[in-house]
Amino acid sequence: CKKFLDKKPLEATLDDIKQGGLEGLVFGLYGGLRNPDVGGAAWGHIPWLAIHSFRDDDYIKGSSESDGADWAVIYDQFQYSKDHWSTNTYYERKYVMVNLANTVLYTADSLKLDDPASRVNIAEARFVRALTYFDLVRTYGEVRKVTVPIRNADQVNRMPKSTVQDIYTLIDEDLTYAEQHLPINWNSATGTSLYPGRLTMGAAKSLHAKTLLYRQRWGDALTLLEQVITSGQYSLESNYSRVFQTAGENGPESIFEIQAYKGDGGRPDFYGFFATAQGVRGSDASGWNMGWGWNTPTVNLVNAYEANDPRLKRTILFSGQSDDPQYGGYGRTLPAYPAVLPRPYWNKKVYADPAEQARTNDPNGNGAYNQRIIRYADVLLMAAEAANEADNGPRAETLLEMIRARAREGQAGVLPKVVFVNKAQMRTAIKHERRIELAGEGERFFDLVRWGDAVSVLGAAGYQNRNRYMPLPQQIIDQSQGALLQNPEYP
Amino acid sequence: NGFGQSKITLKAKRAEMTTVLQNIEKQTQYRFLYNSQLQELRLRKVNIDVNQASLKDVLSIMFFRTNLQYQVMGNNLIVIKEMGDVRPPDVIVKGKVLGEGALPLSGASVQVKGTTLGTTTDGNGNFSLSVPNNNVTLIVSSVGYAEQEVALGGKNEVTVTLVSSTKEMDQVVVIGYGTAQKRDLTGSIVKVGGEEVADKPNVNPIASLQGKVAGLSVTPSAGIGKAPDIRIRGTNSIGDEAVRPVYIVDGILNDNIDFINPNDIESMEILKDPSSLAIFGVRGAAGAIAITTKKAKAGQVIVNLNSSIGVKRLVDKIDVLTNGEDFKMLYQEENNNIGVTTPGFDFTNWTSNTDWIKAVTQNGVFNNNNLSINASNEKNRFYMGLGYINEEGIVIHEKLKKYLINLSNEYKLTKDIKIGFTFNTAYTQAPNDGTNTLENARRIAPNVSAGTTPYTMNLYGTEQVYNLYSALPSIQNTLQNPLVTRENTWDKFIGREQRFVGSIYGEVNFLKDFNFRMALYGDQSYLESRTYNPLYGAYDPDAGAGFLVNRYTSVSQSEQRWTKYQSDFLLNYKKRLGDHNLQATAGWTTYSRAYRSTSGRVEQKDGQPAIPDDKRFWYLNNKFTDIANATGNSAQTEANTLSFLLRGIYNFANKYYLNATFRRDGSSLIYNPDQRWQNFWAVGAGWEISKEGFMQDISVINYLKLKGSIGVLGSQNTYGVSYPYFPTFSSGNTAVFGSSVYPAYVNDYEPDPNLRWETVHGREIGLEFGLLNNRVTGEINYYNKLTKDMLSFLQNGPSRTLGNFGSISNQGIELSLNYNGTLSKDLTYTVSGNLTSFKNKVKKFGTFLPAGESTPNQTQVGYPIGYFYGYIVDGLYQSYADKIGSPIVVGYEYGPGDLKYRDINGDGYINTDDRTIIGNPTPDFIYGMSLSVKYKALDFGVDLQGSYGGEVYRVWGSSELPYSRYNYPSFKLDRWHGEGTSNWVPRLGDKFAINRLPSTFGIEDGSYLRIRNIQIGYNIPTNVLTKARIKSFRVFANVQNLKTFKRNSGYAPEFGGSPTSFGVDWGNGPIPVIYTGGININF
Repeated sequence: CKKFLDKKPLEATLDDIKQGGLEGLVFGLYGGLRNPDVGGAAWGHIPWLAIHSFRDDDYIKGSSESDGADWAVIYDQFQYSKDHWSTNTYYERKYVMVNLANTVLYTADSLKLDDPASRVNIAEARFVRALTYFDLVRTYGEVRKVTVPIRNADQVNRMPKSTVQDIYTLIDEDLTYAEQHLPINWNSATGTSLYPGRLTMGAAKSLHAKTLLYRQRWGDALTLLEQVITSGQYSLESNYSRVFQTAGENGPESIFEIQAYKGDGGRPDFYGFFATAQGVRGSDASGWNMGWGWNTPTVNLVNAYEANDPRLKRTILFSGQSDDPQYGGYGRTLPAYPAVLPRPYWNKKVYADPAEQARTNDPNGNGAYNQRIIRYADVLLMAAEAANEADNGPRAETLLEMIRARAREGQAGVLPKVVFVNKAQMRTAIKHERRIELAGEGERFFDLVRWGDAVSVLGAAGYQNRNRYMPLPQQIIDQSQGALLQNPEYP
Repeated sequence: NGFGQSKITLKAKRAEMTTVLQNIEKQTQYRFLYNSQLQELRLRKVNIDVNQASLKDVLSIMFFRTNLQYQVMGNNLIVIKEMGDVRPPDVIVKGKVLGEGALPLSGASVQVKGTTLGTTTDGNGNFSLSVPNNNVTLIVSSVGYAEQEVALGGKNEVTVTLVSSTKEMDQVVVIGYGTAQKRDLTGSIVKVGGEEVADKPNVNPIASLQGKVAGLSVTPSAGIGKAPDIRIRGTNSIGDEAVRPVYIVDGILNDNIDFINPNDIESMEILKDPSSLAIFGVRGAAGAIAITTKKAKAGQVIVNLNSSIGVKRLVDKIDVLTNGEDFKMLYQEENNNIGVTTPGFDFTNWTSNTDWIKAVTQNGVFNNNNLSINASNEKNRFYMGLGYINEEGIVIHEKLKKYLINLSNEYKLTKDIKIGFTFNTAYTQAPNDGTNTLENARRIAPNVSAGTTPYTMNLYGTEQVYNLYSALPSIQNTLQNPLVTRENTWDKFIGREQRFVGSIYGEVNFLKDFNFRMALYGDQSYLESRTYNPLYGAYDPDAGAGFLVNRYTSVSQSEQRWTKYQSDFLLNYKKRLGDHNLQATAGWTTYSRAYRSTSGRVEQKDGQPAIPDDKRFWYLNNKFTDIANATGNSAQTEANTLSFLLRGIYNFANKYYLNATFRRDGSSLIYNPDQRWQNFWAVGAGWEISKEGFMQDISVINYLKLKGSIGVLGSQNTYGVSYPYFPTFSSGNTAVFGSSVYPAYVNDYEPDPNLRWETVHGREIGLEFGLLNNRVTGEINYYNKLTKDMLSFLQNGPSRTLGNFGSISNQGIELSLNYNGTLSKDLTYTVSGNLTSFKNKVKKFGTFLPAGESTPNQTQVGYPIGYFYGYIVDGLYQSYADKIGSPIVVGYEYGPGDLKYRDINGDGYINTDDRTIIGNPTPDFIYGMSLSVKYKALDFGVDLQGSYGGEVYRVWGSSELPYSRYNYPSFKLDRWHGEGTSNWVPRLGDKFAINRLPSTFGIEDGSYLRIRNIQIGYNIPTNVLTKARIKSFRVFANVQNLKTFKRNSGYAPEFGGSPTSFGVDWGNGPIPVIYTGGININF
């Protein structure tokens, strides 16, 4: 009778699988960042694009006019919604990642793991938690600070939110630990990386520096950034386009990118939606059904480039024109706007390599694309900004010139060197350089907000000061039955 | 049965025989039937003195040395006849009694009205009775049939056809692991005869019960061959499985009845209350439907042929634009509204006026043929049924074929031992599902042609002219022309299901009162499906060229197998001790189920040749693709249940009734040994008030029984999880570094180590009655069910836990009434009706299921399950002045022409706090009414069925989120397009998300009344048929769903779904009208 009723699943459960202990759980964090069904919807899916990119002055919702017209209202025109798939998903998936990271930390804690390898794993988990909270705090402002794994709903339902300061304190603690325990690289004795794309000390310091910039702690930020620069682990790619191409994945300029991978013929398939969501939205008939076409550049961005800046043609695809093999294209011509394509401009930084599409059997997207989170150019520009604000103009000048020198590709008279005159002049130059260098990479809106420029730049589109933070999703407020208070700026 | 057990105490001296008989009638449940002219009875006086003697003994004393004999009938009638009737009869009437399906009825009693003269029919349904004259009226009755009066009117020969009894208390009903007289039970069981479903054009017999049974809700499912959504007494859980009743087919418990031929059904019983359901333990919470298939009737050979054919037609089409100019106008207006500055779409090449719904629908054929053979003798009873059903859907190319066989045989080894088997098999060829075709058709602009254009393409290596359907204009680039997909893929699918269900059993009677029954059941189902994905193109009118829509061929193949085994070991005990009547059952039963599936897919790769469009190659290893590149998968689960059961059915003097049931279930799904065993029980009591002395003078009331029951039932709902204690895990978290893959897994949820089955604590109180000579019969019940420990997932941000987190209450009243009327000897009629009310409330719920962006169903403590939550619309903003003068809407761009929501809390803002309950998809009550009229050989019936007080939420035209420009519902022609043009339909513009919020704009009245069935039949007179060796010949015609009087704009007013999300109109779910005609012949 007992035998008749003792039935276990006819497939493995986690108890049957040796996952590699703590490291196995940590690998789950990397997968979670990418996987659209886990945390990936908050890292490279349309909600991410909407919150990180549509809101700036250089990119809009994209796609066809009518497709997701409501997204344009919410994010291009700042009529934030309390109940929309974008914000509900973004918020929820961030906390899924927080929970995965908390599970790692709880496991390590309960098993009292303190060997060097475990400390690296703990550092990885704390990095992921900090990265997640940084997005939450800069998107929503005051949010819940959850630091233990959630085992039942009441644990979280009754939890109020924490102050912005409290969230940053947690971020500082997490990243300080990560800086101390992550390795400088994952190289083997022969110097090749055993784990391309795995978190490093440089990634922790760069992220930490970025969070410090948001709090105008210039000196602290500069210290960390100079450590990254002098670590000798990173350098700028000579070709700007290569940074974003398949061949440039995990290259010398990469500090942290979310790893996606597709094998030959598409299997195995560990995809993300970052590039697919932004691929040129044509039709099967035109042969340009390369994605969903969200997050397209605006004429505002086109006009912002300095004369002959080669980065313009490396950043933007123009409808009706060649993809320009001279500037990172593959020799195809885009159909015309508006006859076939619904937008004049497209994001070239995610432009699919036809060879890669064929290899991965992915004709309507580019699921194997690694989303770049932090790259060395960003570190140099952050360092320039911090140096300038910390009254070290000459250092800022040097750092800025590194970016401009690479960008001008050796052409005389293009992108002349910016010579330090005064702090304000240098500040303007750095802001411009960030806008151009990092166009379409999801930094611009948050930069405008932290610089205090958002009202003047985005005001015409409908931005008001309260729009620096979005309202919390109404569903979460409803579930808390009064414990979690809505952002008071959104009655 | 029972005869000989009645104990009689009598003391009489020189008493008249008739007086003694009356005395016996008072002491027992027997009635005597005799010809009062019988000399012996009239004149003979008897001396008798017995104490606790059996009836048999008493009668043998009384009839000792007389020429009287008696015969015990099934319905407690004892007919007294003369042995060799020496006195010549006045008149001899001969006749035949027919029952269900016009088959001869043996053992029916025939009585002369106003006398005690009577007899019974023989094995061939024949009787012969001497009557004083041939102008008397006969009363014909039989167990399970309505009593019928037949005036002889001078004739010496009559044929009487009985109809199933509406006097429900006399029915024998299936109660789970046995049968009982309904009179002896304290619960609510409704019996429906097989004839109710046999002639109806529904593959699934339950569909024919819509509106027929109080407490039973039937919501049809879209598509053909799919089981309808069934609920018994409301929605008692949030789990899909937890609200589905259990089916018991000839003893085997099942979750569907896809293998049953409606024509092979003898009867269906719907069990609703705790006292009837506790015997099913962990399977009983959602109610039960017991189905008995046809078995051979005693002593006859009958061949029955039943065939019907008909046609289905789409009615109540939803109204969308069919005029291209209208679409162009609204398209332009929408562009203007949303500020599109680029030139609008050029419609030069798009000039059709296509009715897209018409383009993808057809008139479907329904054809149903059945042959059954009944053969039995004293020892052996054999039945064989063969069926073939061919059903076409109303979506083009939808076609279902089903072949059915039902075999059974029972053999009496000795007087006390019998063995038998049952066997059912069904072979189904499933259609390629057309549900999406219809849904997409609604979205296509009428400007697109439904026709084809010849175009030369090279798809499979040679140039060839293909007739290509049109591509869609670029403004509809997220949609697909449904004709392109349907026409190119409908016949690239093979779906075959073969199912075998059978049992063997043996029964032995011993020690007088005991019976032991052992039965082994098996149910095997195999489903094979293969899909070929061909190369096909479409024609782009703008480019003037065809292009490839599907570029690569592929083949998917899957095999699935379901296995279920059940074994029952039951000991029955039946005893009558004076006024104490007891029927007890004890036993154990096991249940095992297993599922296995394997599936795979091969795909043509870039540069490799296509898999040819030939059925020969619809296999994984077709040698056109490299099997090394195939993907494969399997799924498998097993579960066992072991149960002990105990039941007692007791009554005292057929007046006071007591039923008690206990069942203990151990389930392998509950892995924790401390939680594994769970007990379920019920107790019921009844009081037949009409048996009391004080009721005897109230002649209006013939039958009155008060009953009530209480119990705890279980629900083996696992919320779609195969092993609740062992969460599955996903490998989606697998990490990649460069091209190295590092598997990482997370559990899909956290199991609660104390997880147990949810329970339904049910109560019922009711009254059964028969009035006016039982012309009026009926029942009224109040039910109250409280679901406790409801199993659910708590999804709360990052955590997902499976545990016992909720409680739901359901209560309501059920009423059913029947009236049998006679207008003349040839014209009789029956009117019946039923009504069920529902009140549902979520009492406890660890979380809540919020309304979505486009669907308003919300499940929350204090509200009915899945109620509609949203804004109340007070009209439209007519002008900017109107907007400025109104409360401020937070978070949306809005202006004149947009929906004006009500500021419920009066704070001057319209925000999420102003949402409220805007509807409830659960109706206040549902009802059904039937009228059947019989005039000589002609019969006619109408069934009505309806629902009142529920709401429907229309998503299309209100909350539907378009990814490109969809066709407009016709009511959008009445949209706001300037001050005063409308105060209800908002301005056009996908961008104005404010108009898509769930609100009363999408709420429609879900009340309806449907003419569910009209049926007319004619029995060709027997005398015509006898020469052709035909016993009976019936022709009939039927119209199903002739008309639905509804108030919503969808195809139909009923929308199923999950227990927490239903009543939502996505622009699908048509309910076609079906006209059929048929014949039913007995040889």
